[in-house]
Amino acid sequence: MPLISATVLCFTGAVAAYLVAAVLALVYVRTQGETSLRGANRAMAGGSALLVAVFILRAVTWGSVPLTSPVESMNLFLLLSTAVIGLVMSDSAMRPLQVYYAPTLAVFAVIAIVVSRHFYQEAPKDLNSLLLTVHVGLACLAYALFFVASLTSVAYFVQAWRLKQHRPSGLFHKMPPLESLDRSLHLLIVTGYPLFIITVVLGAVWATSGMQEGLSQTWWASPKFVHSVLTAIFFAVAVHARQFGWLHGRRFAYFLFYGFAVVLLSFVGLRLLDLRAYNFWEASL
Amino acid sequence: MSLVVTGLSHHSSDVALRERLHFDEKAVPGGLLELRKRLPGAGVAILSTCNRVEVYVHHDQREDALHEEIIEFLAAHHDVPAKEIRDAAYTYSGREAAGHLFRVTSSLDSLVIGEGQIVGQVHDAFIWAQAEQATDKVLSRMFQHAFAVAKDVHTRTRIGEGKVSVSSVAIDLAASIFGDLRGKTVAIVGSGEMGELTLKSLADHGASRLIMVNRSIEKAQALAEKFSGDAQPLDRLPDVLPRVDILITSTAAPDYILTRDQFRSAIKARGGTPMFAIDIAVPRDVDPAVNDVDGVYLYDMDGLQEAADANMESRRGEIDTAMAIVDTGVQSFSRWLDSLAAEPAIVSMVDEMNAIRADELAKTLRALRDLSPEQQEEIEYLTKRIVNKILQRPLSQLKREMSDHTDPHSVLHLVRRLFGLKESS
Repeated sequence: MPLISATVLCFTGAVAAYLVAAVLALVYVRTQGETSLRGANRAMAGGSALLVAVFILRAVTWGSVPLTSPVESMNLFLLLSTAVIGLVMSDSAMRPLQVYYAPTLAVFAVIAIVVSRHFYQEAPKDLNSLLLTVHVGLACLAYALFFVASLTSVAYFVQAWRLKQHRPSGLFHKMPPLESLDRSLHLLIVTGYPLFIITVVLGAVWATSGMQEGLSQTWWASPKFVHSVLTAIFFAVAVHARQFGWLHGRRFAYFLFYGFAVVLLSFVGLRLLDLRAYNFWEASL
Repeated sequence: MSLVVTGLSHHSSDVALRERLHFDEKAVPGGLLELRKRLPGAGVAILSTCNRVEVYVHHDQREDALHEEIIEFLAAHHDVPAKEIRDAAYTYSGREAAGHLFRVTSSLDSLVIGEGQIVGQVHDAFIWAQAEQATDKVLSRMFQHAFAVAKDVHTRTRIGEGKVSVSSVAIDLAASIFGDLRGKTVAIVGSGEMGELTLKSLADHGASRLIMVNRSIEKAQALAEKFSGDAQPLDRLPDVLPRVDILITSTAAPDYILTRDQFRSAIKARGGTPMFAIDIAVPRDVDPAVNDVDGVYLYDMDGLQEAADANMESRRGEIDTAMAIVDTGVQSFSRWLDSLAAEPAIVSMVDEMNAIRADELAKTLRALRDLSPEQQEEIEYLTKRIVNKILQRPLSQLKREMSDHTDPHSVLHLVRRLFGLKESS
């Protein structure tokens, strides 16, 4: 019981820290004072540390890797997104991007706490293989990279728009140059894309490995798998078009923004679709 | 003691008069020497920039006499009629003089508010005065305070953000697209002072590949020699365009010489890598529709001026905050200045106590004749320690009261009465 209370405390603290980070980032939009930006960065780091504590406490309490509930995957996604953001902002010129990152992560954190209800009082279900655990972890990391890329692309649109409209003032001067944003987008995608491919391959290997007795024979025709393949193709186009110099700047940013929007919408859409026919969930536990 | 600044700036005089009163780096030491001959024992500093000539003096003469002395000095040194200077000069004294220096150093009194050059110029003025041993304790403290206030203003406000001159706005915008300008290719089409100025600024910021394009290849070659670039005739411009990151156009052509389609092809050939086009020609050289091409950012004179005005507006919005920082700095400096008034009283108190101590010690030592020299020395040391310990708290409290009290002179008066010190001290 004390461990569960500690988990609840850490989880609530993490959400609060993400909210504080968002508020400070918005204060930075208004004041452009370095103190609020530093505060936002620290609050976000604090929030992610508390999320790590939540994972550790869940694992210690229930003796298994907590990944299977929606809240857990959202927490992992939040944590990995924070880590990716930390890497992006290791270049000090990129730190003002926090005004895009922190409020969005805070929204995710709030959604996580709203849907959490009693998740910390229930034992996490075990995935039936290490392969699947790695698959879920890598998928979250790839999505985190796509997500941060989509937020960075929003920063690109805003900067490019202000330049086009001849309105380069205020926060514009604090933001990184367009070419730095473009390089970051490229780096995020060339990192995320291979991870996503590995994720899809691992998922397919798991499905065909024969361990899943209850899995439908036509799992490869399921919306889940088809969607994953389409996403992989979409990002393959983005990566290669960029590599060959066909996509750059605003168009590249648009591509990545819509890419993640499609991923997100499809992800939500998939949850609404009836996937029980393919029996993924039962087969994975 | 009076602290005075007398000078002329872009607010009070025209450039012709300021030019005649200007001190260049070599003339400053002579000026300081001459001023100190006129005002022996004074602390002096001369600040001379293209927008102002100011003389700071700390001396025991009255403020109005110092103002007149500075006018006479400037007139004699530059051979300019004193009346002409007097009519255009302003003067500030005491805390207002400090406030003026703080505003000047923080770039709140500059022609271009928030410009960064003035701090360096004030710093130079201070260093030159120090090198000539022309500053005293008060002037040194005032300048140090001014630098701290200026730093505070630039850190805590956005007064220095965003460029406000057309050519520096162009550099700023180029940096907001490309970041580091090193290795970037800049092409200038046509010639003209503004275009060359912008080109030079870009080259100073690291743009290393320069292409000069002109209808006359001779003119292009002349410019290319000047900037170590390549010369190209105008009809080669479409071929050159895809290589160009930053394009400056300033021809006298009556029609557009660059169209949307040319930029579209260039961007395609560049794989979408952005281009920045600065059209400073009147009439314009680049079709405004070029700004609609994805990846091309076109600024004409109006666009650059708009950006400069927006930055200036944003700086103006910071003035109140900056002035509040300056006021706090002035208050802090004034407190320190007021605390100086306690120094003679402190010296007098210490002397008085030491006189009593020496008197009483002599009496005691006469009564205790058998003491060895070491013992006598020990007793003397003891009395010194007692006096120091007794004085320590009241002296530090007095300094604090002089700094914090609304009427420091009443505090001083009370102390003098308490300890029976002479009013003149």
